[in-house]
Amino acid sequence: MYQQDEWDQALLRERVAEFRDQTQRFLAGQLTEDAYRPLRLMNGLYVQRHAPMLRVAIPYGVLSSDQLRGLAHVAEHHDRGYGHFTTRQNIQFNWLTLASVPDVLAELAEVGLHAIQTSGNCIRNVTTDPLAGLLPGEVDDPRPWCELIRQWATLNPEFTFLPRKFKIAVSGRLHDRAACRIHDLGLELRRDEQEKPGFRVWVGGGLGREPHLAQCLREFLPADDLIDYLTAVLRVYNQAGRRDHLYKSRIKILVKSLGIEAFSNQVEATWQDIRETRSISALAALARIQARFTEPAHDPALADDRIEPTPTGAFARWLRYNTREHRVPGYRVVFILLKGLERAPGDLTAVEMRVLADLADQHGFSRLQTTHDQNLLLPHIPVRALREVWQTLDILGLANPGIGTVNDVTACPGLDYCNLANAATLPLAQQIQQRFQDLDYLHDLGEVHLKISGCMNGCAHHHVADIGLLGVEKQGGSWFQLLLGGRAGAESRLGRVLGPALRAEQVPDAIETILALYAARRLSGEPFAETVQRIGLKTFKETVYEQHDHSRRATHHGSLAHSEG
Amino acid sequence: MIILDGQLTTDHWRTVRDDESLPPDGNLLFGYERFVANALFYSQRPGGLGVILQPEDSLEPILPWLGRLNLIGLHFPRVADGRHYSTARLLRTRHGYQGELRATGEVYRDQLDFMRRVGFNAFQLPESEDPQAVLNGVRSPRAYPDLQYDLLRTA
Ligand code: SF4
Repeated sequence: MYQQDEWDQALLRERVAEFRDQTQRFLAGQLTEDAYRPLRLMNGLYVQRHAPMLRVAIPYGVLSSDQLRGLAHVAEHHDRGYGHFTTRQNIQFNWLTLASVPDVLAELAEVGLHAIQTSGNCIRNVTTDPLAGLLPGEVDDPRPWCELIRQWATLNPEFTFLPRKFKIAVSGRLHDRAACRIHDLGLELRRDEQEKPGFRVWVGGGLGREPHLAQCLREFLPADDLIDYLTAVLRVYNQAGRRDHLYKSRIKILVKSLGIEAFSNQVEATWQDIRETRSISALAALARIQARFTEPAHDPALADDRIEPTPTGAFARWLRYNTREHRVPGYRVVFILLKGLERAPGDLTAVEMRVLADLADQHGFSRLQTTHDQNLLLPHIPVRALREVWQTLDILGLANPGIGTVNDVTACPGLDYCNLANAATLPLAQQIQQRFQDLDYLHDLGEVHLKISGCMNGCAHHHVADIGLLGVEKQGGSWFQLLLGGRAGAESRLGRVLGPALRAEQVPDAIETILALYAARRLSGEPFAETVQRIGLKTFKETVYEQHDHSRRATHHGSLAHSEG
Repeated sequence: MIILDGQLTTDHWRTVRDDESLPPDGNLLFGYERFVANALFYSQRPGGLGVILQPEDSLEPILPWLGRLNLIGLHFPRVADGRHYSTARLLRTRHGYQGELRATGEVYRDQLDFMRRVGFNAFQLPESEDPQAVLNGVRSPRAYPDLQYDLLRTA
């Protein structure tokens, strides 16, 4: 984990003081709403349906137990006792008062957390693979590179007023679990024939209104050139990106309008220029950063540990589904599922945060990690502590072995919190989980990713889900469009729309139909998206809509279920 | 109010409107099109020479005159329009411009730290800004990530 530098603390304190002054000027009427907006956005503060929402950065998802306690403190003293983990590995507080935000930021700064550049038209929090450096066979750890990019992007004077937000993801060498191709810029660590480190660079990905998978901008960028190259990409975008239209200002639109070749030529020319005049060695900067990264001191004496007695029942099931083999023998990676009937996806209470922080202190080198699907990890748990960890999680209701199943629903806050929402996502997430309570069935289906976005901004990344649900604008209640067969990662693919939108009440039935068809028609071991590809969307479409026509005739009002959330 | 190199000063420049006849002397600040059309002529008259660029104006036509220009004004029509941060950086780095680089338009104290770091050394602030508060802000040292110092050193 990265040990913060002196400048980190100084920078955070200065920024808190500055934001306090800005907020006071705004509350005193010396700053107009228009002038205050970019300032508060730069500090992660949105004005939402009920109250201001503060998004706190968790750089590449890494959290210490003290930081989690800091978040618990904020949840308890300034919010309603909980926080909400997002799909970009950050956490949001939904019930703050504007006047309290400077205090909240000051408290967070004490544990090295902040909200800088978590919103606004700037370079956002860099994300990566939550399992980076944890699984067997992982070679290159992307996290020092993420830290390098964070340092380059934080308060970068040239790129703080971009045409639009800019998201960067970095993935490790073997598998892209960082979803490089749905980011404005994706960096995939790799090595050339001489084993020299570098990146494959992807550009122009993004979901939202006009979903695009990123295109390859450069097959191999030598690692030492990363900073110069990033500067070149951002400079071209800053100067040429559209600023006249909100929906046309992401880099994907620029890349599309110029064509990848012309865009790449501009970047290369700018890069050439920077190299000749003001080059910075990324490897030298990385060495400095790497020196501040500490690895947990795994105990080699634990390598042969076995769980005694042999696990059975719920514990065995949890082990199988919610933990993964660790790179270091004698340890496992533990997933914590932040879903369930009692919580909105990604929600965690202050009490739970504290217990998890204690667990991490006792057994897990004080470390935690957030994931892209609104869950948490305890990345380094000794095998011999697993039973105790499970028991504690079970008491908290956090040991549901549903990781990766349909019930591991990812959902944006939707109508309950978000100003832009068309539909209520949280009640639907509940209804879906309610419907699929049979663990044997869930585990038999295997990994099926289900994601719900409340509007076309697609914060839950519904385009790259096996089953994506999109809230659409329609009179009378919440309506959802279904998309099938999307995938993030190496073989990224956007899901395709199944057919006309369904009422929220009809969605659980439709999903049941879809899953039944999948279970009946899949080849052995075939993932969901592959089956959709093989037997065709049409087959799914016909089955789902035919079923619905039947039930429409059978029931009186044409709505299938009446389980309102 | 102008802040130049960290000091409050009065502005010694005269902005020449596009439809105005050429004043006989003084430090003259021209709009981009008028300057580009008459650059050779203006560069030969005595007195300070300056030009103001809008975010969409290309640098190319003024590059031959960088040695003669005493002031380049970069205009910010809106706080959120950040194109000129790159313009400033290019002028100071690739093109080696040494003269006064002034931010005009929507320029408030909260942007000055960013502006200063891409190479602006002069700021034209609205009347509503409190000069002392602004000066304190401009002068106080700040902490940045190490990497930002690398970027600064290359500026
Ligand atoms: S997808 Fe839409 S409704 Fe959901 S959080 Fe994003 S903007 Fe809000």
